[in-house]
Amino acid sequence: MNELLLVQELKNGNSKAFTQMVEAYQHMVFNTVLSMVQHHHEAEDLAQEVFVQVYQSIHTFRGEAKLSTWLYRIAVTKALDWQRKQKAKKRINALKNIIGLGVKEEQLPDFHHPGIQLDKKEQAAVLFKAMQQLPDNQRIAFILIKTEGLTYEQAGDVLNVSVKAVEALMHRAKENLRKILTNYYVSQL
Amino acid sequence: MGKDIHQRVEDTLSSIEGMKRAEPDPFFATRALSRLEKQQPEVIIPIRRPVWLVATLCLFLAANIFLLTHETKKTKGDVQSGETSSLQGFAKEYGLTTTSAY
Repeated sequence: MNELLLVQELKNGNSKAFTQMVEAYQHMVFNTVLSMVQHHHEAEDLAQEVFVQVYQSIHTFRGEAKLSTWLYRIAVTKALDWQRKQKAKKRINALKNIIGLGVKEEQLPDFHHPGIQLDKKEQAAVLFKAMQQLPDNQRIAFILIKTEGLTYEQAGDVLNVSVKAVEALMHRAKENLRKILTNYYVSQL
Repeated sequence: MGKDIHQRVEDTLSSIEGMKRAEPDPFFATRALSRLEKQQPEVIIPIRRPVWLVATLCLFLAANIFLLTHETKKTKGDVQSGETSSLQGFAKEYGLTTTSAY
């Protein structure tokens, strides 16, 4: 089923079209969300929410962008919202700890992306941790290009910015990552 | 040492080159469909602009006030005419009409 027909069937409320959409786009949505939230179970949950939201709001899809671009945008937004909520929870917990009401949170283990080659697993875990310290736009651009393999143009469509802006975001992301990683390795000495 | 760290940083940066996409669990699509079925359909509000919402509300209130006053007047009129006719009947029954009294 081509994209236009799929969108039309989704607009008609066809649940078979929903399953087809999920089967066609599940890998890209899941991989993007996983790279952002770095938690397998949460990523599956959020990715499912992405598809449900797309189905429920398909009538607002005007076809100006590709369906995949729209899916990436929703996936990225959902992942960012989840992270903001997590940060807010952490802040509240930290406050509770100060006044002696909180429960000490367990440190999450390092995230290992399943698509990384075994010999690079440890280094990639360090990189994924460093990526979490990047500003949102730089992180999204870096993830879309490096883990999803999008071109600068495609990433620009998702972020709604020009190719030059994506280039600038990637340049700053790499520079920031270099600084973060240098500090990390220096602290390991 | 500086050169070593620089190399480690560059190696780390390139560690995700050629990575593969992560795959969700095999029943991901089934679970997504069951989640969709569980969720209530979105509540659709046909009037989205507040000005229309307020106007509709005012119209609804005006219609209610009109009906209420209209019905009250009607009921009052009915009661009054009912009262008059029952009084006349009463007077007739006991021969208390003005013509028969004198």
